[in-house]
Amino acid sequence: MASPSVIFCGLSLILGGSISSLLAQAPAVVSPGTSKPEATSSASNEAVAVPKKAPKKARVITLQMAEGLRFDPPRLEAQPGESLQLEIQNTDVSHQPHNFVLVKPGMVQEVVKAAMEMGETGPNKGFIPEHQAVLASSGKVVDPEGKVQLKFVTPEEAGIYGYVCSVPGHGMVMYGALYVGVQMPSLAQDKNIPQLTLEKGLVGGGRRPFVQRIFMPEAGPAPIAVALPGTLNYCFDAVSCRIRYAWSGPFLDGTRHWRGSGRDMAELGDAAWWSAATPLIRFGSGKSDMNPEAQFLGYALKEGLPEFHFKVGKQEVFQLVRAAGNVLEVRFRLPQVKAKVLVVQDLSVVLKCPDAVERKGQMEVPANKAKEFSVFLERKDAPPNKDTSAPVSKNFHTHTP
Amino acid sequence: MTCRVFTFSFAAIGAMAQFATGAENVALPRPVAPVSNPAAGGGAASERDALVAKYYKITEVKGPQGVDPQVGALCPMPDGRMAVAFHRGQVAFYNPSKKEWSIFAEGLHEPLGLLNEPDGSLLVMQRPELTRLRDSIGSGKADTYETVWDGFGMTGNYHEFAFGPVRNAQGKLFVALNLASSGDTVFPEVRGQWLPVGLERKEFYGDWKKNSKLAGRMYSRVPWRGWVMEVDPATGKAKPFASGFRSPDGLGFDAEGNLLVSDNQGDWRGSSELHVVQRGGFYGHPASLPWREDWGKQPPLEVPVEKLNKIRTPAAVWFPHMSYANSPTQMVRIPRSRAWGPYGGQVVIGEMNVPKLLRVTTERINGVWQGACYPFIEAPALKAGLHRLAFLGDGLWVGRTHLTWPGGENLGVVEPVGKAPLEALEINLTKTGFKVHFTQPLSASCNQKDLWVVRRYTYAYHVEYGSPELEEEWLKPTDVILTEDGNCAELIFSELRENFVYDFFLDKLYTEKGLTPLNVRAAYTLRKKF
Repeated sequence: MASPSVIFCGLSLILGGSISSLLAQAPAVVSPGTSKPEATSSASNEAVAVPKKAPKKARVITLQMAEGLRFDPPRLEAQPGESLQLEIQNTDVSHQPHNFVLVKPGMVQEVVKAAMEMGETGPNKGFIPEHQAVLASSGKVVDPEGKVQLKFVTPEEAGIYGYVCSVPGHGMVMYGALYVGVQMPSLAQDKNIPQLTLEKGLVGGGRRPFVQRIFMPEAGPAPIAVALPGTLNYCFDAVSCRIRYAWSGPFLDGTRHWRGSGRDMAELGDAAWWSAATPLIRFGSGKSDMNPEAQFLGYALKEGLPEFHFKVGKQEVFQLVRAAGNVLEVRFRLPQVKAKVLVVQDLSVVLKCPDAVERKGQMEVPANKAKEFSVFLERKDAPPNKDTSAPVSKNFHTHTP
Repeated sequence: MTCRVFTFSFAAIGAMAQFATGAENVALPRPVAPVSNPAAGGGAASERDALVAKYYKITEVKGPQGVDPQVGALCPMPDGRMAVAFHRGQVAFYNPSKKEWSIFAEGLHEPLGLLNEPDGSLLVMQRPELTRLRDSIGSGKADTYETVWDGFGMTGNYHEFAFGPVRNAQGKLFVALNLASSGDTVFPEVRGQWLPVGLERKEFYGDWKKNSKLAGRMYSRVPWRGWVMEVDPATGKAKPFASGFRSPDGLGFDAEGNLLVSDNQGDWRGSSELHVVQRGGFYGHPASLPWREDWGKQPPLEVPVEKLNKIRTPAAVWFPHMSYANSPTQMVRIPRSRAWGPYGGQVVIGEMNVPKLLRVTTERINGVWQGACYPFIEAPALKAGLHRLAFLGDGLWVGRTHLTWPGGENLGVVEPVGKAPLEALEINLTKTGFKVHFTQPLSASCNQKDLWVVRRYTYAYHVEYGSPELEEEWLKPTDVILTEDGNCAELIFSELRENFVYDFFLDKLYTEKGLTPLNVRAAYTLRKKF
């Protein structure tokens, strides 16, 4: 799903000049092919002027009714008296009907309440109440995968006009704001749109270190994402009890996962530079292909960094990952080590284990060092170790339109 | 939590606002009275709020700043704070006297259950595991996230929620595991042994639009999906306890310590249900059956309904769909306190789609659990999405959520402000009919038979999603006997039918002073006659 803020980037505003009409009197049109073309409710307001006809060329804006009870984009911008043509599409993959109701400033929840009061007449009227604050509407509910076109001229009076889905149970969270002749605040500062929309973007809001359990690509159903101080991030798999991959730059975007019911995975801030095929260390003779079962036991936060605790067969393991510039240090603690400890040879990265010695072509950690040792990893084409502030990759959501 | 692939109808939405109106089904021989009183002389939501406000104060509590305010779990703490888990993985404490939040833990995956332990730690059920959170140095923040139990399967399917834990008097924990939904397939990697019964695994990675129909609407392909499990918190060992669940969002206990589990209308669920769950029981949804030790290779979808009917325990209570609940949630026991008066010891349950709390009562007749549900507190001010419930003193806290379904956000607190309203307190089966107990004495003239109407219907047990109301009939009692004090009416019926809902319409009743019931319906599920 596109970032809501992206959609109106490319739209140029038509300056309304002196042409003006109050929205309430503008013709709201429901497109042909829908059940009943409906005129705008003739809301009576003593301040109403004679309606002006909408100019022929209306600016076309696509507005989606999207998964997670939300409008996408969550806010729109227009000039007073501007002619708009909304292409409203119900793309909600959870297959729910929605409606669209544009209301006077500050009246979103009043109209939601009025819709609740419609009782059994609600379904027939698309849950659109006859209320003086209603300026325009979809006229009916838009069924899943359905579309409705709505043309209107924005009010002459500058203001922040709310739009909402007044289907019962939806209106508390499914609303947005049409800014008419009013400067939009930054998305993060905008109090006129739902909080869920505000919080899109970085998991942890950019805090480092940060730990988040969430569905992630290529990591099984129980991954744990860790943002380290600096720029490095890694994914620990709590099923196989090993690091799956590491990436640099922004941490994770959890929006898609959290907005839905958990169907979508979080997205990495950048492509992984290391994907591990096996655990970093293994125990035993090295001849056996036996892969003893791993059992995850949890983690403790040490200055915010998780030290994972697990068992591989009978061997208890503690593993804490730190970052030094572009180098990942994987610190192992093996309090009761009995078996031989072998470090994997992974040629896809620069891998070092100063405590290991080479024996019969294998990297082995001697018994006297095995209680605590580190494995260091660095990407092969690593840029020189410089500024540690996170670069923002192109495919990552940003907060400003 | 509403847990279904949504097949939304306007009828369903219409029902959301039906407290405010009269007829809900014009095809019926007479207008059906609303579940609750539409408010004296009107139907507007604000009037309903005003009416309910005579009995309950409802206040709002907003979630902490910067936290997605969808509530996954509530847990009252011994020190008077409320622990709250949120959709995106935070656990925070709310101090009601200071009105302050403090974040305790972060980064959890869809936490849906919280339980404080005697040692000061906090158990949290997240999607992948049951975890113990500890603040080992008294910093106010959890620093260890200890895995208590992760010995259940996960396919990555979005519907595999994990519910609970609740703790019985012996200190054993119970958790419930949601089935996967055919609304989506599974991850390439799963946790736990893949069940080699039913649709082949490779088909899960093929044309899902086509293959999903063969998987079963809700499916269980990794261990213990559709089961209630018993977990020993000391050893982290778990045992299967009972099977046959679909989307068991609510776990709780009745006053005698019997385990209660709610489940959502859908396939094999004609209407939403409350089960009294006993060890070894099978509660109707067949997807979980192949995980039974005595199960062979038969795909659950191929088992004839007659066979399933023989081995299942039907729900103790049906929540009639749309008229009582669309998606029941968690249940908690009402404290025996002055404030909660006659309701003390009863069970209250939440509902996702409409702003309504219900009560449930159960009784055991000839070894069979059955009982009734009653609309309890129903007011727009409560808001929809009443996912989690907890009592902190006399305050009934509700935590709201929605995910991609109808619902709400943030929290509410409900406190009684006076005498209990007039309404049915409890319905019990007798040999010849029912005894209906009331919260206040009825007028002696309420013994007129014409004032009492019951609609009787049943629901199908089948693979299809939901069920219409079947074999519907309007009944009138052959006799009504009021106790001298007016607190209990005994209704006599010419015949009683097992496995039917008896839906009582109480809107014509009144007290000596002319007070009418606040909630005007109650539904008894008759499973077994005396």
